[in-house]
Amino acid sequence: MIRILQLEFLKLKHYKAFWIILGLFVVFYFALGFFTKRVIDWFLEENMEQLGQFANMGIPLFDFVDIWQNLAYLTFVFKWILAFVVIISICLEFSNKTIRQNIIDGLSRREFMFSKLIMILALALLAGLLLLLLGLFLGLLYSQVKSPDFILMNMEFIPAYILEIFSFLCLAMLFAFIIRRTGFAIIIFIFYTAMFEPIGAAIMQYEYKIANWYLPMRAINNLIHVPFQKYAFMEVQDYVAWVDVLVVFGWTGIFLLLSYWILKTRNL
Amino acid sequence: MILETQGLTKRFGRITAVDSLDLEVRQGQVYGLLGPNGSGKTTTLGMILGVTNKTGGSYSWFEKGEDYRLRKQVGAILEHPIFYPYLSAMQNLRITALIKEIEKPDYAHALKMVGLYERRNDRFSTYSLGMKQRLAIASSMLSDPGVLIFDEPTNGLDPQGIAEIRNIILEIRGMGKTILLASHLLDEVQKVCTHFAVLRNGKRIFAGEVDAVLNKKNRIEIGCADLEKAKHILSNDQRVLHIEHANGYLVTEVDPLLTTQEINRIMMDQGVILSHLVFKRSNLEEQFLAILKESDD
Ligand SMILES: Nc1ncnc2c1ncn2[C@@H]1O[C@H](COP(=O)(O)OP(=O)(O)OP(=O)(O)O)[C@@H](O)[C@H]1O
Ligand SMILES: [Mg+2]
Repeated sequence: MIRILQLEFLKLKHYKAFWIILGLFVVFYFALGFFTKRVIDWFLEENMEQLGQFANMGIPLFDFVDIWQNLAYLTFVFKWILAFVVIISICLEFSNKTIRQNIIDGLSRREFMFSKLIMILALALLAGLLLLLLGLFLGLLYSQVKSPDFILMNMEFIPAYILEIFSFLCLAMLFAFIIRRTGFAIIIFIFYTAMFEPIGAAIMQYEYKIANWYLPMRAINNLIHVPFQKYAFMEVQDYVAWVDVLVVFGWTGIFLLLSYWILKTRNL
Repeated sequence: MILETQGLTKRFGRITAVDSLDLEVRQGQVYGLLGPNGSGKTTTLGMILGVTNKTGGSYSWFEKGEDYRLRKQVGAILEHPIFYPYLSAMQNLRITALIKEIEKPDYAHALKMVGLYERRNDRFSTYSLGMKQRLAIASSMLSDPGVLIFDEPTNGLDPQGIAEIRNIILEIRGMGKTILLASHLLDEVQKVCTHFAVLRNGKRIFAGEVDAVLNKKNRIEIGCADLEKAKHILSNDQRVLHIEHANGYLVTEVDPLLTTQEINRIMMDQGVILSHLVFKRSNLEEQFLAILKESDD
């Protein structure tokens, strides 16, 4: 276990592209947090006449209790950056054929996959940590209530967020194992996760009235519901539902089993 | 027994790359896997090294089976040297050591053996092909394994590079290690190996000892004033298998029992003074062609 962790770390330690993209991820992450508030304030001021009531009230985007869900939802785009990190670092092992030498040297295919899974877990935990830090920072800066019990309330969105990212990155790993070529894998991954499935889901729902909660991307994005309608006084799901968690666990299991099967049955 | 394969088979769609191959490699042998391009050498090695999934048959390392952990006791390079291009030689060897679970890896020793110690902190991507190949050998030797597998280790190198690699392999052989060497160069197998098998279209068409095959026939070149008389004398000898003229000499193929001294004595007895008497080790290439020809018939 520790050996596998060390192995992955040795591989990535000096891999510049990995750290650059990861650095960008952190920078973007915080930048989004900081600029969102500014942009909203500016927007409200500019449109004082129509939105005066909101401006006076202030949109409590970064108030505790709400902040966890809001931030977790706002930062959902960033999981694609992490997915690129995963795809690039796995496909590199195929294009350099280093996976082949790893196996020849005496690593099992399962251990190889496990080493990538550790990287994925580390990335998901990093995202969770960033969410926690950003939430605390913005919350303490802008929130009207700052008592500990309010801060802690709704924190289940952090583990849910970690799960969302972990599952998403497992899907990215599956694409990398199947396609093996960096450029192709990234393009097809984006195509599927951001176009094919969402459009397909919309067609299913609005054209044919077929339920689509079980589709993988739908399920992953559904862990944390869009919170913002509540500021227009609409009903939203402001908690993490167990069913949603179960569905995502199911998909994660499927991604992992498929990844392993692909790795096992194909020549390297 | 170091390695045994039984009925090992690999199909790629309609192509049968390796066709029920039986091999036996024993402790201390330097085993050449000889065959023309596309005969299935790399595919065979890929299967016993766990990167190519076999279609049928079985193999066994150290009589213990196919467990991936057994590969930690084997040092192997398949086709090209493979390393992380953005890492230095040292960093790459650390990865090897970690995978092979080597207790106290002696990096300096391995790198010095192949003459890369000075360049150990340079990135792999800056190495020449010869250096890459040598680093691959260093990496395969890092765990001080009993068995080494080299797949066309001199492929693409210049004559000097080829000589360097051959010398390193001979040095490794001198340590008493078992080596499995795939090559399409007969000359390489002849110079380095003790045993060899010939593959064609994935089938083993021959297996045996290099010396036994080489010593089946010896070639001796003879020169003297009266070649016809010499030819007449020799053609009456049972041990002379074949005689022909070439470059003003008689080129004979003889049984290994017939030595040059013996020929000299016979000629002397008949009053023929030899001006030229050269023993030529028969070369594997002819044997190889003969083997291929036999398998055609
Ligand atoms: N991944 C693959 N897919 C399809 N066919 C393959 C694959 N790998 C090898 N082959 C075929 O299998 C046969 C044996 O190839 P292999 O590489 O084992 O030969 P080789 O003896 O190593 O040749 P060389 O001396 O050129 O290295 C060839 O006909 C080759 O085209
Ligand atoms: Mg080959």
